[in-house]
Amino acid sequence: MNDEEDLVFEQVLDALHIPEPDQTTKEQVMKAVFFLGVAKEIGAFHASIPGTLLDDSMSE
Amino acid sequence: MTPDEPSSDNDLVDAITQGDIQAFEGLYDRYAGKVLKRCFFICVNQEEARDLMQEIWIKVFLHLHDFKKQAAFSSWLYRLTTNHCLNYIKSKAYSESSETQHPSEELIHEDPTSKIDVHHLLQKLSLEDRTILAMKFMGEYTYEEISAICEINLSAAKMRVSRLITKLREEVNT
Repeated sequence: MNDEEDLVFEQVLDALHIPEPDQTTKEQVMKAVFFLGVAKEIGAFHASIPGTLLDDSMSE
Repeated sequence: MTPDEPSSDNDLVDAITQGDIQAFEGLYDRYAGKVLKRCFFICVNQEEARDLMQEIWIKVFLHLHDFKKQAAFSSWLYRLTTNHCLNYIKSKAYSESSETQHPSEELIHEDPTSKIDVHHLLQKLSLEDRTILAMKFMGEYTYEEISAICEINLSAAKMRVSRLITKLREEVNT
């Protein structure tokens, strides 16, 4: 890859002066990731339980 | 590793895949601004760029296990960013295909905080031009891949990137 061209592209991105993402955006992302992480854990937990224990049918 | 020593990207990735959600914050802090700039370069709208950036970070979390460390994490992240933004632009263009508005007029959002005239710069670049630049410099696509995706021949792809870079260089140097 041409480093000089990469540099020009980076200069353009910097010159746009897009403000850094705000704190609210970060909090929303982190909250979503936290819930997804929990969901993953629960998924793994359920997968480790034999199917019969998760069966909610009301057999007599 | 000492507490003062910044963790490498790969260390953070390992920690996240082992369930350390806080390590994700480290990656986010390091790259969120860079991802946002790249989203803005493609969609040219700050609000859309922020939404896209959020979606990208969720995608990063969900697909981190696909990152095999054969390349730098940043390369993987920027390619994911490029693909996500281009898919968004494609689906947006499809859903708005009945409208006859010129894309550059529709997408341009002037930011008063920008030191260079974004409006002026982006008016010079069509969506197709931005797509080619994003593929080359953000997604690190090869010229062969760009020529195949854009259905242009290899030398035309190279010439187009070179011409666009010349145009951008003039703009940042003015």
